[in-house]
Amino acid sequence: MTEEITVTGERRELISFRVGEQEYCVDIMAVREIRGWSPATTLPQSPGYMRGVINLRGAVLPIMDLACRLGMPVIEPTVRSVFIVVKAGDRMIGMLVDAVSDILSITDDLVQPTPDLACDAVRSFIRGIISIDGRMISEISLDRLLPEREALAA
Amino acid sequence: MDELEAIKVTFFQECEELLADLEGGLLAMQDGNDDGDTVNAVFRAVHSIKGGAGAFGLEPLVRFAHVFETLLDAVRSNEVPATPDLVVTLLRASDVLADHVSSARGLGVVDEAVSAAMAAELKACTDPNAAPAPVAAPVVEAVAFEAAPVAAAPAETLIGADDALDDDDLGFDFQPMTITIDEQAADVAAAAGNVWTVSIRPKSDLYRKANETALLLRELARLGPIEATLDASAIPPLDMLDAEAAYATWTVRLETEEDETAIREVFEFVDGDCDLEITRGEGLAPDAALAALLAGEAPAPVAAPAAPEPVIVAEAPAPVVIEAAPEPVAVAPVVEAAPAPVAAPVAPAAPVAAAPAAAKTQQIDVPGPGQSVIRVDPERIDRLIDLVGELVINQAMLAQRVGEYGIAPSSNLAMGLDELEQLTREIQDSVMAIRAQPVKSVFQRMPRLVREVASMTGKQARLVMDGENTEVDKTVIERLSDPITHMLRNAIDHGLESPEERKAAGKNPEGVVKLAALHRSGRIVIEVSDDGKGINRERVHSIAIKKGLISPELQLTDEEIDNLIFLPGFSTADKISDVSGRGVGMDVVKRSVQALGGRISITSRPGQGSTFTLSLPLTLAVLDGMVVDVAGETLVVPLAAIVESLRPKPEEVRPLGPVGSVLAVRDSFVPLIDVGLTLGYRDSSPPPTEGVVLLVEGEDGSRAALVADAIHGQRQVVIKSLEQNYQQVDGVAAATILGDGRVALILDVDAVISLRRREPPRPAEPTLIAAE
Amino acid sequence: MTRTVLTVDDSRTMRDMLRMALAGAGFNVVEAVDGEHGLEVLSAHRPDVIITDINMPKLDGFGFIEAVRVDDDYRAIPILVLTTESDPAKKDRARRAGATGWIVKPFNPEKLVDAIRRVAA
Repeated sequence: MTEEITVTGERRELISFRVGEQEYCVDIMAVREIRGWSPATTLPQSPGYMRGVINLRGAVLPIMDLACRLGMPVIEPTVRSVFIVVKAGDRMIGMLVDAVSDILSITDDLVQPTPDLACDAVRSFIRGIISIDGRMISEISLDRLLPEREALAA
Repeated sequence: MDELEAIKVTFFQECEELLADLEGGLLAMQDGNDDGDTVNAVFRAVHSIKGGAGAFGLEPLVRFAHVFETLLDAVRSNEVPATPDLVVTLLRASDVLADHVSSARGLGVVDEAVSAAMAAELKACTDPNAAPAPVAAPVVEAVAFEAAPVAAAPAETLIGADDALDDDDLGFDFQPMTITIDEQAADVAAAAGNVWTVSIRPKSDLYRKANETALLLRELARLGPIEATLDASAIPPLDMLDAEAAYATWTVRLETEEDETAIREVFEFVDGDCDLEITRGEGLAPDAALAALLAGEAPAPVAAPAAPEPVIVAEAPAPVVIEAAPEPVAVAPVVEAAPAPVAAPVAPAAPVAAAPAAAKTQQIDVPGPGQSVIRVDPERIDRLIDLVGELVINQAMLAQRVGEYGIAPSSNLAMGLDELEQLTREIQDSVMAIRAQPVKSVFQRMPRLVREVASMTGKQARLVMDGENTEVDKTVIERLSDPITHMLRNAIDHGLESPEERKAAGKNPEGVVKLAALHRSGRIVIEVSDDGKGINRERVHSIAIKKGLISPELQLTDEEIDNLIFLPGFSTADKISDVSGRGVGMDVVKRSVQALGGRISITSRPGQGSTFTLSLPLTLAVLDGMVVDVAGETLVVPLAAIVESLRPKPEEVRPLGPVGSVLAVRDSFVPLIDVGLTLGYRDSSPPPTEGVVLLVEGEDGSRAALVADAIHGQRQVVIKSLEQNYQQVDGVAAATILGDGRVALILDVDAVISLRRREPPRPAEPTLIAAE
Repeated sequence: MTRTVLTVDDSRTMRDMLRMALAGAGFNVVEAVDGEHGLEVLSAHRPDVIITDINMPKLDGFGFIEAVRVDDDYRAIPILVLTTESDPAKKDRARRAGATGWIVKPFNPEKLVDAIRRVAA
């Protein structure tokens, strides 16, 4: 990919978090809440990155192991593990991450295209890469994170 | 326009009810109940649909309804006899009308040719002496031709456009009631500052109909400044006064730029109830002037303000005082003050007396019997039901936590909790009752279906319905229509014989299909039965073998053979008929019913007919379940699927094939299914004898023995969707939240049975029908 | 003072339409679903004006108007009938029964309010 991301002057806020040794972020507008880890109910017949479902004030919320989804080793939840509840399309999901780092305020010109070397699976989940203070933070593309409803039901 | 949209929603709801009334009435007429009330109700249904449709500018619907209504009006007034043939035609017309309603709603398309042909038929019935019904094509043309100008009318704000199309090709000559405009009116209108003289002599009828001369004068004053004089010479002495009679003549000098039409319009409502003379120019009407002279007093005009405020006439013989007053209170005292000439305006004074009473009670809105209806946005009720669901879960959670502290059941705390549970349950039941609806809304669509299927298959069928008022949760109602439709189609297409066959078998050529709803042990049961030939078991059995659905050696009971028709890939019709086929077999119906936690089965008696029985939970919001442990996970098994639970003895477990085993239950062998293994919770199953077995019955009647690790007991659980935030998961029907606040999955028993069947090689796999 | 209008119509759609137009014009609206119900509501609310349909179950518009007109308490209340141009016979019959005026369908809110103004004191 060689084309530049369109430069706009609008500022956006992102929540950054750690998955293993890497930093990722999502648009703050998509984040509903951040909660401490609680054990999930396992879902049968589901991909490995689905940790299961939890009760979020009466709604059944699926929890996704983000590390696993990005092709990294499964996160072993600790007391410091959190899940970030995000709205992805018309669904709410919890993303299990190691820790939340901070809130970034950026303009889109800071977002660089994902380099070619990343594998296709990872690239489709990454909207772009942000470079701030020597850190490399990848922005998650939420709409790709969950599989299509039918695809998995089959 | 939001309000108008809301009314439109109401309109379509009302249309559904009116269509049902229409059909019900027509069916009653068919049964010989053609009393006046029924015919009137039938007429009104079509009339009301037309009225509302006109309000929303739904022209094709208005047009068809109009033709239909015209014929019904003729039937109502006995101009056209309600013969059985006519009623059949009317029923077909009601179907076309229903199509028009659906089409107006954006739910389908009307077959224009069918509609036009139907309209032509209705017209021919209305006026048998008219030329024979034109063939379809010209009618289509005519309709299309007329549609254009009607559609062009700005209809969106019109209310009750009842007869937007009176001049269509009905064969009737309605004379539009246009008010004739005098030739001179046009040029008069052009001139500014025109003076008119209007002479009004009310008759007693004018007052009898609650019209008032004062109001007429007020209306005239809206056109321009008026000077009104009253000639009271004709008013008799008080003792001879007829309060209802009219004696006075008013002469009004009006200055207006409006034309005579506008002046005449003021008197539109009193046309015929007063003598009216409108002349251009100054001067009194001759007779009024003469009368005034004879009375010995010259008329002295008094200016009235040309204001829209109520203008009240305080009486005196003449000159007349016209004064503007905010409230019509002046009349009564004047009656006493000036006896003789005031009779006429007395009657109209009554509304004044009525006013304070109205003010007293006006805050009460829609009163009266059967009218205490509150309309609530369904979303609010859904939200309430969700919240009550949370309450039930919370109460259970609380009870569990308290239980963990080992509180004595007799303690105040435990008793208080019991009461809370009781209350919570009652609240839940009451709230669910709010959303409960009679199955009528689904049933009322069925008579038409039966007519159509019967006519397509050449059968004669009569539909008998029972239990239309059986109530069930809205969530279930919405899902009833498809299975009922399929069962009815099947009953007519495959169940009923042709009229000839029936006659040959000594039956009434007209078959009876019965659709019934009832409550049975906390579920709603829908039965569809026919008095047809019953299932040809030999044929069904051989087809199932031929198609490889069952093994030839398998011994099946009659009931099991009957239920083979629900097997995927089974279809008794050699070629898929247009009716039952439609690409959907009974297996698909069964799957959809199962997905709702329901069961469907069929029983049959050769030569006497078949009965489909469909049972569904009363709500899709809560479920009675058995809570079990499987491989460290808590699962809920729907109670409806469980036949019994048992602890298997070693001698009852028999291996079958390399990995499988069966459980001997009395005389039969039931496949053992380890739930943990099937759902992928564990890689190998512990010996079944270490766990508990839930003997379950699939919707097809097949049995299986589900192995779990432990049973926690029964519980009513609130059903939570997995799909809302995730997606469907094979083997899982839904989720729920248990007392500890954790999510538990609700098992899809049938899916678990079929999942297990998909497992790797099982030689000589028995079918899902358990052997005897 | 807010005037009260009684609407008598068996069609919920039509009652809603009338209510929308009348409430929008500042009237207090009371409703009845047929002539019989109309007479009951009448005694409870003493409306300033009545608007009634003709085709209704139980007691139709003609019967309702006649019943209002023979009652000394209500005979002076103006009654407007909802009518159609296609049926002058019905209109005449309604007038003979004692209707004060009529509203020809289709109508818009202005026409409706206009008709009420013409008959209401």
